[in-house]
Amino acid sequence: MKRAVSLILTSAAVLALGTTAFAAEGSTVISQGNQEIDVEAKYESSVETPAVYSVDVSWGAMQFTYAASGTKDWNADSHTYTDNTEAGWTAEGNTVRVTNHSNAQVTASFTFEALDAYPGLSGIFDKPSLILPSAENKAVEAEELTAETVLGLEGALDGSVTEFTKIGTITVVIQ
Amino acid sequence: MKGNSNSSKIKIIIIVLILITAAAIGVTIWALFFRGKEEPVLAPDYAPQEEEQYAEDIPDDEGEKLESPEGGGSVSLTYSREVSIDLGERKAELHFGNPGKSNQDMVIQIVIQDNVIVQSGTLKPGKQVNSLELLADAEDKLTAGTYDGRFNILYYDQETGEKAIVNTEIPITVDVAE
Repeated sequence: MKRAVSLILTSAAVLALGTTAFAAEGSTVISQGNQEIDVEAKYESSVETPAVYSVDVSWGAMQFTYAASGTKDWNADSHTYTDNTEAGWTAEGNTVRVTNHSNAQVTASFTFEALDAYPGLSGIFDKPSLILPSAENKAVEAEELTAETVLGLEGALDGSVTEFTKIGTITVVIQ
Repeated sequence: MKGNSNSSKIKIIIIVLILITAAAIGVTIWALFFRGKEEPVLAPDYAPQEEEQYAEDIPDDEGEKLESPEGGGSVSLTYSREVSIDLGERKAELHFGNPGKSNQDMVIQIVIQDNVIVQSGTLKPGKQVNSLELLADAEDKLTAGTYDGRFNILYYDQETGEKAIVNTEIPITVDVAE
């Protein structure tokens, strides 16, 4: 009986040693530092890029001349003049130019308002508004960042105004 | 006896009616001629003599002057569209600059619902402002909240001080705090 017990215990001890040896072999990766552990990463931005507006506006002399030419022919039968005259506007420096250096698109719109003393005058821009793209990733001198519009006048100017006189104002609305 | 009583009642009624009529006439005259009227703030035709007290130099402002068409003008504007107002301090916090490449002096107005609540002094090229004082009584027209407003920017010839034929408007958002 004792022998049988001894045999069993011995066998168990031998098997246990063997298990230790296998265990040692199974843990080789850790002991040598070769285990691969995935490391993950992602980019998260909290950097704000607020819109910074920078716009250039230039304008010419804005001088307009209302000229009348032709003849007024006397009609003796009716005692009246036959009007053979023509009148119209010529302009010098009637361009407004806008350049966008902002990091956002801007829209410039234009209006002309005559002074109260000249109620019969009105102004029309050939391009009532200009859309200029953001200057982001564009050269400072990029042509697409600049646009211009031309003002024309309508209506007649009183003959008493023979010197250049302020007749109205231009408002550029930048949105 | 009864006739005297009726007569005195009629007199009292007439006196009361006369008093009411007089009061109505008085109120009408006050409303037409004496009631306080809001004085609109007018844009000056010539640049103010005094430069804006809060104007400061624009850092690293080294740009060349813009080419100015003969007889015309050139300006450059740098700005933010957000403005905040502290009613307690009577100040507007903003960012607005007249870079050195401009050829005109500027005056800035902040307008809310057609009320000018801020008007700067002269802002010369190369100067910017980050703070401006409210006009007198402006705080009485505002309560805490957010308003749609606009910058009115007026340009003035640097030599003659005369207002240019062109001006600029810029929509802004104005946050008002008590």
